[in-house]
Amino acid sequence: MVTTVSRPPAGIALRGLEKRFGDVVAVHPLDLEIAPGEFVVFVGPSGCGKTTVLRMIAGLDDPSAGAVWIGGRAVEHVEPADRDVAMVFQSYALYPHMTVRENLAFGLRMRKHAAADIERRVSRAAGVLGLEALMERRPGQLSGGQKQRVAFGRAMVRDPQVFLFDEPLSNLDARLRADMRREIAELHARLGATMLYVTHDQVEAMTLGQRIAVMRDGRLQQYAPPLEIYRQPANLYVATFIGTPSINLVTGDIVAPAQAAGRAEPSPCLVAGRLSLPLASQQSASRRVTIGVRAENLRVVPPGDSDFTSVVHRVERLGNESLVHLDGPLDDPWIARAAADWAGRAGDAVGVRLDRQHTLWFDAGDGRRLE
Amino acid sequence: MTRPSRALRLVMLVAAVAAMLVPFAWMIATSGMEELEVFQDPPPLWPAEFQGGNYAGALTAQPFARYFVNAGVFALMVVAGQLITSATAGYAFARLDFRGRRGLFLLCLSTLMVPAVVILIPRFLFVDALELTDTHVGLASTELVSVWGIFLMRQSFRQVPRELEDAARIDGAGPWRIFWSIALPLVRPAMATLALFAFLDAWKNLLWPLIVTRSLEMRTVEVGIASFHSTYHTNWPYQMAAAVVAVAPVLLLFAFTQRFLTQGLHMTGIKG
Repeated sequence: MVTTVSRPPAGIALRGLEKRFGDVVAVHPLDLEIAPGEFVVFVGPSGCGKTTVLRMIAGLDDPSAGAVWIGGRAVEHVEPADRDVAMVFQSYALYPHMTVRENLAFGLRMRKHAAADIERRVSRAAGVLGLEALMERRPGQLSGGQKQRVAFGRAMVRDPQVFLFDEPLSNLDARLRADMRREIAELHARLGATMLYVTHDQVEAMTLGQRIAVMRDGRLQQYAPPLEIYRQPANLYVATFIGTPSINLVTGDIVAPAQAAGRAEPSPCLVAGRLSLPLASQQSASRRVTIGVRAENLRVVPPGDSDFTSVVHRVERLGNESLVHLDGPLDDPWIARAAADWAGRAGDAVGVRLDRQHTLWFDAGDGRRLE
Repeated sequence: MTRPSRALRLVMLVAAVAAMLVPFAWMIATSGMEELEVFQDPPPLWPAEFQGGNYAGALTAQPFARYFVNAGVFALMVVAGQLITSATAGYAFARLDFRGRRGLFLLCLSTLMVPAVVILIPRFLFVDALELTDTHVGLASTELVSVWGIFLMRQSFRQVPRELEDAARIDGAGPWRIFWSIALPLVRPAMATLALFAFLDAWKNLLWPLIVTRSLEMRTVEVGIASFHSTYHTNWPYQMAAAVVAVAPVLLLFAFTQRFLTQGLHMTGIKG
């Protein structure tokens, strides 16, 4: 079944959008552009302001400063109902006293659609989401996944220019979450509508978003496509927030050639415990530097030919690969990916080699990534 | 403390049930006695011969049919009035943002500390000044707002998830529509509780109808029952027979609404 939007999707622009609750700043001035038809994910820990941004776009909360533009018009004084957005809530927010059919139709009835049109749109959404058999049930008689579908359906029937999702999958179990993730992606492909999705789950962010906005303490940390977020995180926070297992970090000092002479390094290098890495030119701007290496950019090798020596503490065999827990340069816990049949065991003395090309350098003071 | 044994709990329950039922049984027994049988020493537990004729006698000694109509009209006006005022005010206190909301609510609550008897005379003077004494409107007018009802409804509306109202706003519903189509249907148990209590309060109200009505045509059932009891003579069997008839509708109402009642009190976290 092919369903297309009758109107072109709208772009969204946030200009200096800010939210304060008394003295507490929930969202610092935020500038962001979302292209028409784009799927953008806001990700961050709870309390980072991502839901507040969504609510301001929906018109449910008023910004303290700044403006929201939807489809080329400022919507500051536009009621939520007139912004042409639909929202799916974390709790689903289905009307408990109405049947599934009535839940789907409520928004259309409020907008005074003709009965025949309501019927057509409701049955179309029910068909797409597989709700036909549930139409006369009430939300209390539905499972979590079914409620979720009804919540999507309620958003779909309105044919809005923008879909807003507020952690819609957080109440589902892991398996259902994966299914629904795929369905949302398909829904986006089918409808082509602009979608904004809030989550604290980095997997949802990486798999769904065409661009990801990483938030922390009400500030935007980075706004980029998933791979760029992963490979070129703007700062230490983004680097640690995205990626499983978490990125391996170590902080050390930049040591001048003279001091490093004992180690026979010709150029300045980073020295952190048992590790010593020569710098590329501009990285010497900071005196203290943190480097980050993802698990797949570490190679566990025989002790001789390596960047530093280490001891294996535990090997997690996942079937398709092994995760090797070992000592970092300062004996802090690091994790390296290895082949599924990697032969090492806990207690083995090993060497660890870093993939220099994919080693990320950060200023240890402010955390920003050094190019 | 150890849990009381099963037997002890049973004894306590039976005692409690007896404490509730004995007055009822006594009322029914007395309603069937001869007028002087009541005064025997010791008083009989049950009439030697049940005088069913007392019922017909009591109900025709005064125009009780009229009294029932009056009490019914009075109670229904009070129920309708309190449902409307409590639901709207309770919703406003629970959900609408306006200046002085908290202060106004506390002011409302503080009126609960004024004993009803204290304002009985001012209420009468007020109704009298409006020339509404001895009318249904005068009878009901000062009973249409219940602070307890407002409190009950406010607590109930506060339990309606805000996301439901947010969803309705995005769906295009205005404030009135959200109140009517979303919030109100979700507090039905509390509404039923309030309606029942309002009905009971009005139905068994004696003092106010006694003061504000004068003519026989405007009396309520309670006033009629009380008037069997005069300074020099009380016809106990007639009074009890009328009382039995008067509690019948209340018992019926309880039987049908008990489910809502407990649900409503449970939902609002208020113990009866």
